[in-house]
Amino acid sequence: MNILEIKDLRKSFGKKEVLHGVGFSMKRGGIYGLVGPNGAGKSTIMKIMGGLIFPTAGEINFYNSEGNKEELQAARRKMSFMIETPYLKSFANARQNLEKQRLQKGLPDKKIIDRVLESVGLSGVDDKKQVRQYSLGMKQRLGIATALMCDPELLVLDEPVNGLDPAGIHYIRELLLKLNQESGVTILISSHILSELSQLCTDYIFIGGGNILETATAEELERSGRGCFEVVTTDNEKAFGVLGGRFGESVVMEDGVIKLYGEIGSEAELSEMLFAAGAVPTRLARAESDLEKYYLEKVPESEGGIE
Amino acid sequence: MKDFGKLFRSQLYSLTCEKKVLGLMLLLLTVIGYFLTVISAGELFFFDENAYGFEDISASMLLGMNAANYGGIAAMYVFIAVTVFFTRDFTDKTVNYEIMNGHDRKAVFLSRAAAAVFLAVVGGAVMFVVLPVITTIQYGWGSSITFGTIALRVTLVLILFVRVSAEIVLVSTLVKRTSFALIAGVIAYLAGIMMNEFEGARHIITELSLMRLLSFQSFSLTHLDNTAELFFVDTMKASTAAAVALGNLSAAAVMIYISCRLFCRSDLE
Repeated sequence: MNILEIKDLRKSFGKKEVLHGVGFSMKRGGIYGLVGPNGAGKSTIMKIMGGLIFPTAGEINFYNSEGNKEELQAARRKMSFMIETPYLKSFANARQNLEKQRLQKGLPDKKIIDRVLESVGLSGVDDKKQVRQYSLGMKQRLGIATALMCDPELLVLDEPVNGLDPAGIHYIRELLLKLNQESGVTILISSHILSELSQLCTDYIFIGGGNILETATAEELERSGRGCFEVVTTDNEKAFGVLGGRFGESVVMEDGVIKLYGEIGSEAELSEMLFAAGAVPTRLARAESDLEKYYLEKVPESEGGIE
Repeated sequence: MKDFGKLFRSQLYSLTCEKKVLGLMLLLLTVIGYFLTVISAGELFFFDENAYGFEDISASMLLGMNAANYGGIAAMYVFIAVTVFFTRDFTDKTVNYEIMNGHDRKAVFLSRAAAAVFLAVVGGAVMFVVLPVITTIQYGWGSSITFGTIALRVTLVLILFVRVSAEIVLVSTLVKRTSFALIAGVIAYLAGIMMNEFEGARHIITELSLMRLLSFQSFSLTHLDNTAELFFVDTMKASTAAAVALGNLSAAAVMIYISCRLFCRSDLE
């Protein structure tokens, strides 16, 4: 079931159109990476989803709704956003920030504050400490805590690990994975840290220049060539012939390296086959799925990619 | 508008989180007001020590003389507190998150405007209560002005503060930044003073002005023993008072309406 469907979304600021008919959908339970360079339109899409800016044209439907104003507002109550900076009162402590959220959302149970603080690892922080005294990592965690106050079904995060140290990034990643796996929260996340996204996302939405360039699942991305076996042997010509006979068009030779895409069986089986043909493998390894490389290929040079 | 109550409660909670800052500000302004009062008491004594002795000074006399000063100090509090309170929610994105949480824009705006007006009226009222109470304890109430006269004028000033806070809300909605809103407020204040210099504009402005509301006609009675008493009389007609109240409330309503329309239609960063 689609939790979100965006159709032909357009947005102009003055005469400049920044979104040119964007469309994609998200299935419940996935972790979606919104990938694109600065100015591609990622934040604009998120802000339209949140109701902060009005689209010039197009439709946003949550939970297969008709997309009218009331339905969108009702749907947003099941969603939480953290766009750019967490919404926090810096001269208040964590509990006061969450209490304000609780009142604003009309939640009757005060214990929810303890629960969300526990879930983001901030329950032990002294109440005398105001948010302005928090580290960036703590603020991000508290930001996520505020987002969890309504038990969201969809969590929208814009650059949630920006500026965090490795420990902070690890904590946020584990937290998001836990939310997704244990509570079934669907997540849409944009980040410039592609290695981070590749450890989280089940699906990717590539955006550039206000257009969707491609949508792909992590599996499709891997299958489509970014995850492959790289083979180098003592006789590459012979090896290429043998492997080509076995795997057909999924074998290509690039810069003296034979690349095998798709299912290839076990490494031992491959190795035996090459030995038998008289091409002794000197390198036989799975290339890492490289989101960054894919991104650079997809996104035009003018927008931060390579031609 | 069904979320108005929740959002208003949340706004009031924000205010309680900052009660120390607000309290400190009120205390500081009260101290300034008190010193102004003491200075005026001293002036009375030194100006004509044969006519007025300290034993003749009363809270009602000081209030009659200093009401405009108290009003000015209270207006300063209203200007700073409401501007900072209202614009900060744009700066720290509180407004954005309330909308993203699925709240109606109208409710998000009006709960904030209502809290701003609440802050202005309550804070302003505190200023007008604390200083007279202190001077009454010190000098006694006296008979220079009746309590009813002062109560009516203060009520009108508090209604004027509703309009002032609506003005601040309008400016803040347009500029959305604390520093810009403060600068815009100072410019508006200075423009008001300059316009007061023009005879044609003076009438329009003073009908709704703080100074006019808190100025009284006075006369003194000199007794045969060469002591004197100072009296303040209320010459404001009931119709004028009603017009002031209605004018301020109408202007506030128009400004809140315009601000709300602007807010509901504009993109937020």
